[in-house]
Amino acid sequence: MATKLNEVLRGCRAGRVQSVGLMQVIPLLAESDNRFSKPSALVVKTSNYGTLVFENKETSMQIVPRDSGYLTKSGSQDHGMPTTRILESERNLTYDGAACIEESQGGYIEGDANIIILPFPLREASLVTRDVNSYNKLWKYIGAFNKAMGLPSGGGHINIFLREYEKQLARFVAEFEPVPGQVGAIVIIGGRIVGVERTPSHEYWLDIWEPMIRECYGSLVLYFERNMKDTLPRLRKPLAEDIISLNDLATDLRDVEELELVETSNVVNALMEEEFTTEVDEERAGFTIETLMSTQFVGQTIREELNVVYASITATKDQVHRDPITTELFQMTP
Amino acid sequence: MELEVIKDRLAHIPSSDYPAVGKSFVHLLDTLATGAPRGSFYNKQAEIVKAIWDVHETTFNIDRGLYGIMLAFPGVMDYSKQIGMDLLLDNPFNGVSFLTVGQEKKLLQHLIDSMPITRQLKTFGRFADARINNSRTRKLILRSILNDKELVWHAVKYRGKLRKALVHAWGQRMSSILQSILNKWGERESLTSKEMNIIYSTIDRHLVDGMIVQTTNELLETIRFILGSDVVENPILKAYIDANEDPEKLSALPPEVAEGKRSVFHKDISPADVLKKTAKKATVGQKISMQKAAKKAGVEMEFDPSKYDAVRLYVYAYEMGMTDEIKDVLKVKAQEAAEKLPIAWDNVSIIVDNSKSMEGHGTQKMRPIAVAMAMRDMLMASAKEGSKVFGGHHELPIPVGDTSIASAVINAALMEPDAIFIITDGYENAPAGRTAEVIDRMRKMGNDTPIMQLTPVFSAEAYGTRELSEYVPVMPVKGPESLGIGMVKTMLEVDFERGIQALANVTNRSVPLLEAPGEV
Repeated sequence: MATKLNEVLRGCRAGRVQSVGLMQVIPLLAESDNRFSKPSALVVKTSNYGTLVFENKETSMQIVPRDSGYLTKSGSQDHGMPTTRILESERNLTYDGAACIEESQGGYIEGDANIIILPFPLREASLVTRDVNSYNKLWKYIGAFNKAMGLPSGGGHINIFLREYEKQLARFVAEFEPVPGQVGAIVIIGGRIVGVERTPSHEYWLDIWEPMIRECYGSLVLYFERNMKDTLPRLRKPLAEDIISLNDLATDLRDVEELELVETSNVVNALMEEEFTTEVDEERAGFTIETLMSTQFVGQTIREELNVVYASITATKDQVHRDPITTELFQMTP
Repeated sequence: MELEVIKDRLAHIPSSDYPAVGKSFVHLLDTLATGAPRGSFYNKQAEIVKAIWDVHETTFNIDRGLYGIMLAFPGVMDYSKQIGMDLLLDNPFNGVSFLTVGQEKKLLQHLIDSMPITRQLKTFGRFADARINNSRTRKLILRSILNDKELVWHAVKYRGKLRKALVHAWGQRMSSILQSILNKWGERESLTSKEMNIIYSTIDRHLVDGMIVQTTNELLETIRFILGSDVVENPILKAYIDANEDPEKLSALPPEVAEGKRSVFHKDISPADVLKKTAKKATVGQKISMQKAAKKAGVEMEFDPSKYDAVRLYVYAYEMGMTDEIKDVLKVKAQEAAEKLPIAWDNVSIIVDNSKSMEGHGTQKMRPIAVAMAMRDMLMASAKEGSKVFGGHHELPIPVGDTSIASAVINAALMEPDAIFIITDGYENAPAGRTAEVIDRMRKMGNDTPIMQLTPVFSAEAYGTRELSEYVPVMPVKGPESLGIGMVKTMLEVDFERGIQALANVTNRSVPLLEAPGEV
């Protein structure tokens, strides 16, 4: 089967672009579907290395986010969930294809984990290996990622990166703000679309927003910042230098904002026609989970007939790879 | 204070170091006005605490006296004073300081006296936990507690904390001896001369003249109660003891103490009933903070808005709604604050950032926007001819959405004001850096309208406040009274000695430390 991105985003409209440094975020606004609880309400445990157990104690349904990570401060091994899943109210779900992301740390998670979304460069590997039942499947990718960020590879320890870059990652939460009615976002880094995220409701979005912008997309910005020489992101335009009056300045500001909007819209519109092949992963409770692939993106959606309630679509290494300096980062992806 | 005296006292700092030292003190001023040990919208608590301590220690190590007088500046947060007291008391005076040892002692007493009782006791608790136990510290604790005119009332509210502080000051052994002496029931005349000497050395010699004759017996009984005795005759202390058995005694106690007793000893009585009995005994601070609980319980708890500062009133209004009475009081407070500003303008433009980040976080929720509203009101009142507000002209604007200040700056400048104030947390994303670009173009075309940034939050990653533009001085504010810090900060950056002079002169209004050179 095939689908296009404009079908995935049906019902959404764009909010005003937020732009800080290399990253731009286009809020996606839509009516909220309040049938789903927020992800942090899930109780998450491990029953074995590589096996995550999700307990939905709420009276509403749950969506486990794609590439979510579960980190604990106690002596347990952190885990990543490579695929999205739906969970009915007051039900449990066991998934055996999870990945350990803290190589030499033993111990099972006992319901005290904090949720993250995996750093962007790990997400493609995480998704395409989702059906591989091997708890150590992401270790080499994590090690390569740490090395690419100038850290000792440390094996499969995501915490090496998260600890070292904690302050820098925190600034992304400061710089971008969720807006009323927001259920998702299109994320642009260095002038290229790197992610399309859609969640069922504003409440769900608010719950997942910080780990999304911080650990996931923030990590990609940090890598770009280590290597990019540009001082402005591709879609950010400067004001004219030779302005002589305030009225001219006001006009120039309006023109620049209009130009940025047009260029951003062009980038986004080009994406809307992107065609994806789809493969059904699971059908449950009247919803269909599909994995989407194209030459430039991979991702997943959850549909109820034609209505998409959840989508998480990220750029492949080829899409991000259009600039030679990013080759090193993505050599580790399959 | 004369500039020559300032220069003389700064002689141990090379003038070549002034720019770097000025910068350190500017960071300190940012921290003093906004740094609080609570998470912000963006930063976790541990990050903020470390950032605050780093700034304090850096400036303390430059000159403890200069560091100290900054703590006495109006608008400094109590948390900052607590850190300052830790540093000043835990590090022996070594003679190299802007202040003399006597002036520093006076400063420390002022700092503790300027705090509410809860913060004082928390400070003393910190001394105990950190084992800061030198003579200066002991005297400070005893002088503060033993001269408290409301010690009886505070004893029933904070018995445990007072006990901790007194035992720390006297030591465990002396506290036990004193307790034994005080447990002997009777007037002071029944004690032996040795026991009288102990009373003198532990209590009397710390009393301010005038307290010794009138209040000795009440004071002794209260100290005995604090140290653990339940044998009392004072009606309030007795009500505290008797309320365990007799619920009628609850009405004599402060509301929170009564509620604590109810929840343990009289569970059959409802919280609403206790609140009805004790509402009249609520403190000024409790009357505003308990409005929601009182309303829920159907209890009328009146409060007088004029007793609260503008920021607190706005936080209240955001929670409970604005009333005409509060509006009237806010107008008066804005006018009073405007009259105290060192500079006055004819026309001002005020840009209020009411994006989501101005909402604040946790215990600081709605505080940044409340500060913005109070500042807006004061600045409007300060303008002799008129003012224009962009972004925050509603009565209670709701912080929502992204941050777009650049176009507001141009619109504000087109009004040709005497000054533009931007009240913002400094985070900008529509897009980031656009305001700096706009102001850069304005400066290049020759528009030199003064623009100032007022920032109500502390950002740990910036070790101070976050600036929108290099052309715009940033003034950290926690309310209208702390704008003075921003003015001083600006001067410290451009002329260090005059900045110190301004600082000393302003501080001297609240605590006359610097009457004469060499005062001990």
